[in-house]
Amino acid sequence: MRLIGVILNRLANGFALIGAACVVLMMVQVTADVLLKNLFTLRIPFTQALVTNWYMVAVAFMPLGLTEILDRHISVEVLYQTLGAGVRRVLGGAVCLFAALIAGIITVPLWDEAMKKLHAGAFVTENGQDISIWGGYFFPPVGFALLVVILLYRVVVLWTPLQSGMGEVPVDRIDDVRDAMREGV
Amino acid sequence: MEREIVGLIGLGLMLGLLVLRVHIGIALISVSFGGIYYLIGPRPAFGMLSTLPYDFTASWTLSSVPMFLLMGYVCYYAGLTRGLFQVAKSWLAWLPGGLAVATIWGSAGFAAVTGSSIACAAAMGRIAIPEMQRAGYDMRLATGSVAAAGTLGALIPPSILLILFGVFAEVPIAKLFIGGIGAGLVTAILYMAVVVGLALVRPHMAPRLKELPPMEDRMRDLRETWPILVLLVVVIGGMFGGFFTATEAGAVGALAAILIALTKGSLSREGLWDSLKETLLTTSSLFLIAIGATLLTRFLTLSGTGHMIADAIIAMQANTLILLLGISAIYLVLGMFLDPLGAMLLTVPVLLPILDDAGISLIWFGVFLVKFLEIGMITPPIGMNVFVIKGVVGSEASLTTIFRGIFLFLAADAIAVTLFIAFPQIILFLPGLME
Repeated sequence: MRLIGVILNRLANGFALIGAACVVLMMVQVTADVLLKNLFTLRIPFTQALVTNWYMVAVAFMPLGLTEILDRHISVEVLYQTLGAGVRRVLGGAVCLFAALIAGIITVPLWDEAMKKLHAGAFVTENGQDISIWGGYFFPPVGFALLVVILLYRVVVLWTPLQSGMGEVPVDRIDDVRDAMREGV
Repeated sequence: MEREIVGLIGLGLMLGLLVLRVHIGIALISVSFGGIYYLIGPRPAFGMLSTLPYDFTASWTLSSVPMFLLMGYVCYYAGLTRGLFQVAKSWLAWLPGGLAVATIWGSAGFAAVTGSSIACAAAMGRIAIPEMQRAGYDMRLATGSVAAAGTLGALIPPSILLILFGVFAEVPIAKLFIGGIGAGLVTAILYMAVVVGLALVRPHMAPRLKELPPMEDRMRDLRETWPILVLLVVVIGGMFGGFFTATEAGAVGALAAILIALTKGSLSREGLWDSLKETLLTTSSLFLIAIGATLLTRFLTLSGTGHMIADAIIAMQANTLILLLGISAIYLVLGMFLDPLGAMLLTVPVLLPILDDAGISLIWFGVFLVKFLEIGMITPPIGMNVFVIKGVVGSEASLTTIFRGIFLFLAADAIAVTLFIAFPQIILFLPGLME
């Protein structure tokens, strides 16, 4: 059980690393494009297509698993924090199971859509040149699929005496003092 | 069953899920998907799920969200903002309550490089509160001023809340950003008035500093803030000057922050990874909610519930003032329990047609809304900025002490909101210059 947790943690961090690479690529490419546009009226080809269809999608969906492990998805804590430890474990597990079900329902059509785009060889055209975009369609289902597995693992850890190896932030903790960087708002 | 009733039941279910601590994004998606499934069948419902997350996210405008987040986190982890309080202290400490005044203007400076009021409160709290404690400030004033000043983070551009509002309301982000400057400055001035007034009436709460630094030191402190000034000129100047869009400004600002931090030798490999990780975690949690809110908009449109609520409010033929007071009351209550993003994305789909009918400027409303959401960050029982300050001070001040310290700043906020309604030009003057 612990080994599964360790693997999930590594996978989540690996996926996040792909997201991080896309953040860096997006920043460098957009800046270079702006500078070239303003200084030499030149453009880097496919900047908008790459940013929207590849980088942004990876940045939003690839970290879903790590966000869950670190319990950084935003939720309302008003009632939950007032419950006893046992109830928090049961309710926390039920909520994770529900979230896994919904994330699973989302994953299936997203995967079907990605396969459709793969078979169609989806691309966009910019200034008469094509750039392939079908690969970006796989980021959402892959990110959601990992989220489903992590949520199910959480349920097992919460509802059984088994030890977790995922290094997750427990959902049944009490903390009215939030992490300073919890949300970007 | 009437379609509108289905919508209302859906909204009720969603609130139930939220109370049970289901992620806001998951709650929005599950109820909206279930409602759409019930109303028009499985094929269109699954069809929406298959395309909407990708189509929503693959957005040029929204790419500014991770970029501005990265800029703020790099500034935070590289300590680029550390000098802001110092310079504000050097120049403003002569005022009554000078350290608290310096906190407010230091936060306003920090707000210009971050879109997060929590980051703003945390960063300023760690520096300013110990200084105020050493100077013998009353803890209510010390903690309250930092928590309140943190709210400037989301008001003064860049602002993640304003970007998301702009996307949902389809108004230019750059204009919203520029509109936020006026509102942020008026708020900062009012907060300063609170501090100065309090220090004059009750001098024991904020003892005056005995020695002021010589001009030479003040100029040195001012020079130390060059990274922030450079970022300010690049981001705000670039947008206002028409050199680049808000989206491009985020990327340029993030890269500039990294280069400045590397030049100063203040960004370690861990600091860069932490900044990137925080950017990713925040982006993914925000987008999950935003995707859910987009689905909710479709569900409310299909069920007609959004229009039913809007029509009911429009039918009251309330004048604009009454309407705004009603909306203000709703946000005050929501802000007490929901996080700002959730409160905004849950309500904007319903409010947009009402605002449209009433002829209210969406630029003005976007800034006004963010002001209210930020007030929610310091009102009990769930005041996120207050929790952050509590984390900074530990056992040295109770939550009650901090909430008490905020009371007068809330009064200043009430005045600010009244001024925004009475004089919309406070928000609209600068965006008007961009036309």
